[in-house]
This record gives sequence, C-alpha cells and structure tokens, in this order.
Amino acid sequence: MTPMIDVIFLLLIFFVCTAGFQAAEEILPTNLSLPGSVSSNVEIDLELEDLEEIVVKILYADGRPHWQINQRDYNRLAEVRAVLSAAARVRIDLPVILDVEPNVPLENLIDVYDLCRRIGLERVQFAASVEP
Amino acid sequence: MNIRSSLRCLLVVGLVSVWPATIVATYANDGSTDQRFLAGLRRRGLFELAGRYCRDRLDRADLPRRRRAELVIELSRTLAEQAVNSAPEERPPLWEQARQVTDQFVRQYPGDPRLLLVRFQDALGVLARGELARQEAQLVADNRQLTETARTHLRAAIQELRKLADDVSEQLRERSRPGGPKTVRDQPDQLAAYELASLEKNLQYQLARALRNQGECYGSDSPDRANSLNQAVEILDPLSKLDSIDPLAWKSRIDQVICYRLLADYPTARQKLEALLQQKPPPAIALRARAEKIRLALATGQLPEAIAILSSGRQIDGITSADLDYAWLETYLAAWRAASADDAQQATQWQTKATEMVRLIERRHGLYWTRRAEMLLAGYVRGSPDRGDLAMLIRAAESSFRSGRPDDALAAYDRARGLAEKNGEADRAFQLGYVAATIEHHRNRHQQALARYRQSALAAPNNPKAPEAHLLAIHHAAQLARKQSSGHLDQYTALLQEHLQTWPDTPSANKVRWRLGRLRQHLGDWQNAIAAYRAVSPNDPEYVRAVEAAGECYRAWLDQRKAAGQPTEKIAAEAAGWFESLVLGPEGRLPERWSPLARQAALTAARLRLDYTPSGYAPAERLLAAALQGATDAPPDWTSAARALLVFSLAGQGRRGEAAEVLKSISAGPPEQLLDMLEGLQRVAAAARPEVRAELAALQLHALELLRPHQDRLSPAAGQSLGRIQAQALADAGRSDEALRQYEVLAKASPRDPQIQEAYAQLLSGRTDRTSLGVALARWRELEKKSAPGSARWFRAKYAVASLHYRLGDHQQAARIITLLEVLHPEMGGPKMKAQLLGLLDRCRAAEKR
Amino acid sequence: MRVATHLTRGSVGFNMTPMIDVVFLLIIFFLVSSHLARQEIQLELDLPDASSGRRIEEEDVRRVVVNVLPDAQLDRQIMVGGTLLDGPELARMIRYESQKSDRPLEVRIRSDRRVPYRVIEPILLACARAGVWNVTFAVVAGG
Repeated sequence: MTPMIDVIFLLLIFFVCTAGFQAAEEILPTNLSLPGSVSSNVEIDLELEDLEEIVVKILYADGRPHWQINQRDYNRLAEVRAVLSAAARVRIDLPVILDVEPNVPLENLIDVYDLCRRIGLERVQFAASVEP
Repeated sequence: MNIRSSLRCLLVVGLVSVWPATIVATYANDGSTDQRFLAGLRRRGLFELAGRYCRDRLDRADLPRRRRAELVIELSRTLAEQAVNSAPEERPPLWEQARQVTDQFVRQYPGDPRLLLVRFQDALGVLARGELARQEAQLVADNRQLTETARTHLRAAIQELRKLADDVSEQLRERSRPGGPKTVRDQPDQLAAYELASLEKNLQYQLARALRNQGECYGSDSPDRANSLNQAVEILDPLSKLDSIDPLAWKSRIDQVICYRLLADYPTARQKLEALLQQKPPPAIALRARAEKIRLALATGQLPEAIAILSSGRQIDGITSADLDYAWLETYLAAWRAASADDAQQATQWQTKATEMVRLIERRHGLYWTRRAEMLLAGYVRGSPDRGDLAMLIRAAESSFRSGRPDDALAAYDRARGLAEKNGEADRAFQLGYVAATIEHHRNRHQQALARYRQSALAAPNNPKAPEAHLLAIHHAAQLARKQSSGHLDQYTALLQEHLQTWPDTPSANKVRWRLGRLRQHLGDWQNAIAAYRAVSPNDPEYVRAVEAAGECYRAWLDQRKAAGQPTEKIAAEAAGWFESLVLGPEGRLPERWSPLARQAALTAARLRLDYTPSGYAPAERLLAAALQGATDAPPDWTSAARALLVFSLAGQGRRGEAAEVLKSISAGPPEQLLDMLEGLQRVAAAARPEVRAELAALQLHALELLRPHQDRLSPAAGQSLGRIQAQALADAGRSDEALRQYEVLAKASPRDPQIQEAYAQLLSGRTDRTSLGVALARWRELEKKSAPGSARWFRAKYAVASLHYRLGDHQQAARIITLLEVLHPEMGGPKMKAQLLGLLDRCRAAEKR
Repeated sequence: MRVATHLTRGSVGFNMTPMIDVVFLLIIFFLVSSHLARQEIQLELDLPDASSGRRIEEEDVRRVVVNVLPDAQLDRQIMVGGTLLDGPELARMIRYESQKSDRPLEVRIRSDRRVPYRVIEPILLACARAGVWNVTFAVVAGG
C-alpha cells in the first residue's frame, strides 16, 4: 500500500510544478505588409479607392497618448473607438494605417490595434518610413 | 691710416659687445616696467587694454620663459580684477579665462621654476572670486546660493594655498640641504632662496585672508566660524611680528584686528588696535585702522563713539581710503536706522548724508566699491519697509536692477511710487510706475507688465504719456490674447474699450479703434468691426487702411447674409452711400484731384452696389465713369479693376454696345491691359448671376477676338491664362462642346493646375451622357488624390464623385462615401458643403429604398 | 553448528516495490524535463493587455521569440535567447533564420508594455525586409 501512496504523492508534486503561475500568454497576430515590400500584386479596388484610407496617428505627450484620425485630434480612446466603429459600419474591410510616433509606449499601440481587431477591422497596417 | 682703421675696429668691436648687453638689459628691465605699466592701467580701470597688451606679448613665440611666466601672471591678475569690477552676469567668463591662462601655462611648462608663482596667482584668482561672493552674500537677503558658492571657492583656494605652501617649504628645505643648489649662480633660472622665503610669507598671508573670509561665511554661533578665524589669527601672528619695513607686517596687523572683531573678542581687538596706532603706521594703514575703529564701535553698539570718530576726517595727508568711506556709510546707515525709531527729522538728515556718501563713493572709488555701497544701501532700505526717502529708494531700486535682482528693484520702485503718491507728486509717481512696468516689459512677463502699465495710466489719466502707457498694456494683452484662450481675449477687448472711454480724442485712440476693428473682424463680428473702423478719425495716417478694412467687412457681412438668404439691399445701399460721401467730401462735389482714399472708396462703393443691390448698375456706372475720368494718375491695377466693373455695369444694364466700346478703347492700348481687364471681368463674372454671366461671356469672347492679332506679343504665361479665360467664357456662353475641346487641350497641357482641372471636371459633370460622366468621374478622382485632404477643393471633389456615382446609378457607393466622410470629418468642409452632402445622402438613401 | 543451507531456497526472492518506485521516478523525471525544455524559459516581462488575443497554439512552426526589455542594458534592449542584440545584429539574425529552412518563420515580439515604439519599429522593419510576414505580439488577456 505505501508504495502507492508514494506514487500518488509524486504525481501530485509533478502536476504542481508544471502548472506554473504565469498568466496565460496570448498572441496578437499582425499582417506585416509595408509599402514597397515584395509581391504586392494586390489589385487596386476602385471602390475602395473612393473611400479614403483611415490613417490613425498615435502621439504621446505629457504622459498621455493622443490620437489623430486623418488629421483630426481626439483625446480619448472612446472617441477613437466611436469613429472606427462608424467607419467599420460603412465597410468592414477598410484598410487602417497606424502611424506611431517613436516615443509612444507599446501598450498604447496594442490598445489601438486591439480596438481595431475587436471592431472587426482586420486590415491594419503599420506605416513606416522605409529608409534606403 | 693704421690708427684710424684700428680705432674703427675697436669702435665696431665695442658696439658689437655692448649691443647684446643692452638687449639683455632691456629684457631684464622690461619685466618690472611692464608690471608698473600694467598696474597703472589696472588702477585706472583700463582692463581691456591691459589684457590686450599681455596677450599681444604672449603671442610672440620667441619670448623668454621668465617673461612669459610674468606676463601670464599679469594677465591672470588683470582678468581677475576685471571680473571683480564687472556686473554679475559678465563675471563668469572672465573668471574662467583667468584660470584657463594659468592652467595653460602649467600644462605647457610643468618643470618651469616660476611654476609656483603662476599657481599662486591662480589660487589668488579663486580666492578673489570667493571673497566677492562672500561680500555679496552678506548684503543680499536670499543668500543661500551665494554663500554656498563662496564657501566652495574659498575651500578650493585654501586647499591650493596649503599645497603651494607645502611645495615652497619643500623647495626651501632642499636649498638648505647640504649638497643642494645653494646660490643663484648654480641654477641661474631658479628662484633665489630669498624669493622663495618672501613667497612663503605671502602665501601665509593670503592663506590667512582666505581663512578669514571662510569664517565670515558661517553664522556667528557656528563652530566653523571660530575655527577658521582662530586658524587665521594663528597664521598671522608670526607675520605681524615682522619688521615694520616689510609691507606684509602692517597688513597682517590690521587683519589680526579684523579677525578678533569677527570673533566677537572686542577687548583683544581694541587692545591690538591701540598697539598698532601707537606704532605710527603709514597713512594708508592708518586710514584702515580708523575704519576698523568705527566698525568696532558699531559692533559693540556704541553709535555715538562711531559718530565721534567721523569727526577726525576722511583723509590723512591727502590720501583717501575706499574702506574708510565705506565705514562712514555704514555709520550713517546705522545712525539712520537708530534715529528713525524716534526722531524723524534727524533720520532724514542721516538719510541725506548716506545718499551723499554713496554718490561720493561712486565718483571716487570705481565700480567695485560703488556696487558694494549700493547693495548695502538697498539692503537697509529693504530691511525697513516703512522708511526711506524718495531718492534713496530710487537709488536702491536702480542698484538692485543693475546687480541682476529685478524683483527687489520692483519692490523698491513700488514703495517709491507709493511714497510719491503720498507726497502728492502724481507725475513722479507715474514715472516710477512706468519704469517699473518697463522692467517687466523687458522680462517679457506680459501679465505683470500689462497690470503695471494699466495701473500707472489709470492713476494719472491726465498725464500726457498716460495713453502711451495704456497702449503698451494693450500691446501686452495682444501678446497674451494670441494664445487664443478666451479669458485673455476678453481682457484684451475690455482694455481696448477702456482706452476708448478714457481717452477718446488722442491719436492713440485711433490706433485702438483700428485694433478693435481688427479684433472684431477676426472674430467675424462684422457689424461691430465696421462701427469701429468708421469711428477712426480721418486725420489718422491709417485711415485709408481702415476704410479698406471696413469695405472688406461689409463684403464679408453681406456675403454671409446672402448665403443665409437675408436681404442685403438696404445695408449695401447705406454702405455705398457712406463710401460715396467719402469720395464727394463735405461739399458733395466730385473732387478734382482723386486721392487714393477717394479712389478706393469709389471702387468699394461701386462693388457694393453691383454685387448686393439689384438695381445698382446705373449709379455704379456713373460713379465709375467719373472716377475713371478724374483719376488720371491711378496705378494700373486700380484702373483695370475699375474698367472691369464699368464693363460689368454696362453689360448688366444691357448696353452691350457701349460695353464693347469700352473694350475697344482698352484694346487700343497695350495687350497686357486688355488681358488685365479680361481677368478682372473673369473675377466679376464668377460672382454674378447667370444671365449677366452670359452677357459677360459674350463680351469676353469679343475681347478675345480683339486680342487675337496681338497674341504672339504676349508671354507664354499670359497665353495660358488667356486660354483659360476663353474656355471659361465658352462654357458660360453655352458653347459647351467648344469649351470641352478647349479644356481637354488645357488639361493635358497643365496637369498640375488645380483650377483648370476642376473647371474641366465641372464641365464634364454638366453633361448627361455616360461616357462623359465616366471621364468626369476619373478626372474628379484624380483631383481628389492630388488635393490636400480636408481642403475645400478636396470636399468639392468628394461631393462630385459621390454625385456622379449617384447619377450613374451606384447609390450604395455614393452613400458609403458620404457616410465615411461624415465619420472622419464631422464638420464636412463648412455648413454649405455639409448641407449639400447631407442632401445628396438623403437622396441616395431614398433611391435605395425604392 | 547450524549451517545455513542456501540450497533449500529456490527462487531469488527480491522485493519488487522499490523497483516500481524507481520506474515511476524515472517516468516523472523525464516528463517534467521534456515539458520544461519545450517551453523556453520565459523572461519576466510586463506584457501589454489586449482583449482580442488568441490562445497560443503550439503549432508546427519555427518560432523566434524576441524579448524587448523595459530598460536598455549596455545600450541594447532586445534580447533573443538570452543574448542582447542591437539593430543590425537582430536584422542579420532574422534574415538568417528565415533563410535557414523552407518552413515559415514566426517572429513573436514579447515586449514590456512601456517600451516606446522606436525600439519596436526596427524589429518590424527587419522582419519585413527579410520577408517574414507572420509577426505576432505577445499580450496578456484583459483590457
């Protein structure tokens, strides 16, 4: 009988050790497609061309993030969400371009990106100044 | 012959041998003459000259090392003294340079025998800086930083001096070692033993001085103070016992007295002072001894005794001492403070004497002592808030400002102003307030400067400079208002109105009215802007611009009313009447000589009548005809504008023949004039009603016909604009096919010109067949891509694209475009554009439902 | 004298239970070590939070985990596999990894939430230049 108790004890220890205490990590996939990248055989959709592309510029000043959508300033993420939801209602596959200032912390960028994904805008691209 | 030649030889040999000796002699003597020369320059305060002299000499590469060392020392000393005698903000670079010069020498020649002297001068520079900081710290209220600076520098100086003393004693030991270099002859360039000994004594003296200053940096009950001062006394002891011939002896005796006084050991101080005076010191020392006596008396609180010493005079054998004069000032101020508690009259007497003393010090003793005296005075004045006469306060304020403490200066000026007001000297008070405001003005502190100027101006409204002061306040308010916060804007407006109320007839009032008009115009408050502009008096040099601006306001206002659908006739008629009254003058006649004002007014009146009143063509035509006849020396752009309006007025009345006549008369002149007129007509036609536009288009085409023979004389740019005008005229005249062809050519020729592209696209959109609409869509899309997002043209392009989609049947796409636009740009390019877009959206939605 | 007769004992009677213990211990040891080896020892980082994240699926895909530290150590903030890298070195490494095999490469960016974008942008650029399109950000659930 005692060996069986040993076995159960060992199994318990094993499961405790491997359970781990870290919060479950998840991932956010991105579709990296920068302008000028190889294989951009995307057909120019004229209808999509008529609808202007949404450029979300994320800035960071005085310890707070600020946003600009097509050169209009917004100070709260809720407003940004309202605008993007309204845009998504027009057409769900509108491309969104994120232009991030260098001093913006990552969490603000992830907030906006997450927002887009939650609304359903899947075509999110990162703007980059590609230096030669 | 033989003797002569041999004599000649001898002479030559003699000269040759004497000559180098003289050179050496000059070099050898040059040192001390240099030093005397430079000392003289320094005494007269010509520091720049002395510095340049030293630098010039130092730049020479062939300088013997000894002289170089001496000149480096002199240069460093000159720079240090210059720093002591300069304003506080000029000091730091000079101190830096003094150190740099010695550092460079130390680095370049580390084995030089004179190195010790150079290092000594460096340490003296640091000591001087610390001493100056200490003195200033004692006279200023908020002195923590200065005291810290003083302590740092003094500490560094003491360290340096101690190190130097060690080095010197080591060198001396080496000399006295058996077998070491004994005499100068062994090492001709080294310092002699007696030189080293005197250097050592000097070092000790300066060390004592540094320690004394360090002691003064601490509070009177701090152990550091007693420690430093006691050390100083110890070091000075052997020096004071030296023979009286040595100059250091007397100086160290006096310094010892000072140290005992600072230690608060007054009996010993007195004793030493008496001993010193009995030994019959030289005049300079005797004067300083007298100053010390005064200070001892003041320190022990025996004011009468101090005053009694004053009676023994300021000079001995014709020599004065700055130190003694400073001690006199201290006595006067102490007496003033004691007397002002009970006897006001005595107090004012002492005050006057103190002010006099400061002036004397300024005349006699140079910048360093003047600054110390002024700071002392300012300190006393600040310390006794309810006393002080006007001159003293003003002096204290000026000195505070000069030594870089503007806040103290402002406080002193305020008190002076209060005092002047109490004495009833309103003008003086105004002047002082003005000066205080100018200080704030230079510091660019707008709110404070504004408040001060306003206060001064309102307190003395009859003063001739009061309107100026108020105007400066307004200027500051304008600077603040530029930041566009509503509080500042209100303040600005309130100030402007206040000015107009208080001084309605001064020339500055017109400037204010002009500003008020501009402000209201900027805010879009047309009516009040017009009222302000019209109130500007005709004598003001800005009158013409005011009239112009009034014209602009009228047009903007009437445009606004027209867009809102309100009637414009009455207002336009009244406005035109006013402008005409400006032209006709007080007698109601047409002027013989048309001034620029009259011309401007005539043009504006004509424009108002033509644009905003339905039957304005006739009176406008009359006025314009008269103006064109009378104004023979007008600039060409005025003439062309007037002619264009004349043609317009004639065309509007249907008198096409006469209009053609005017055109012909213009075409008789150079073709550029006709072109100008065509462009003027273009501008006028753009705002006109459709039927008039058709008439004008016919006229334009006629003019173009007239111009065609001269076309090759025009420049290519002119030819291009001509093409544009022709296309537009064809379109207006209804010949759309020709217009279309013309536009195609133009658009291909200038793809970057937005106006041509837009006009072309507009024309295409006016057609009804699908191919044209397709081409139009493509053109509008291009235009949208090339325009800046958010601009008016971009919104127009968007509207056009959406409406074309609607007309081609793609309602959904049109709705989508407009909805997205609304989401991203809520104001949608202005109320007019917004109304149009939303209207289109409604139509799309209705069409979809069907 | 009694002599112990071994010959009477037939089979060698040895105790089985310790053997079972040993076997189980060995099994458990190997299980644990393989599990831990599979999960790379992950750096403690304060990841940003997002609510639309996907669970990590251990697919058959080559993965390079790029950790971005919140403060720069020795001027470098990017750590891959325990070594600190700077911009050009990271670009070279990603290019090498993507060309090493035909299987698609996933680059996972695990970054502290406070890291400014100017540190992340070079990583994205390097991935784009190397032709790696599968870039993911590691987040924790929340937000």
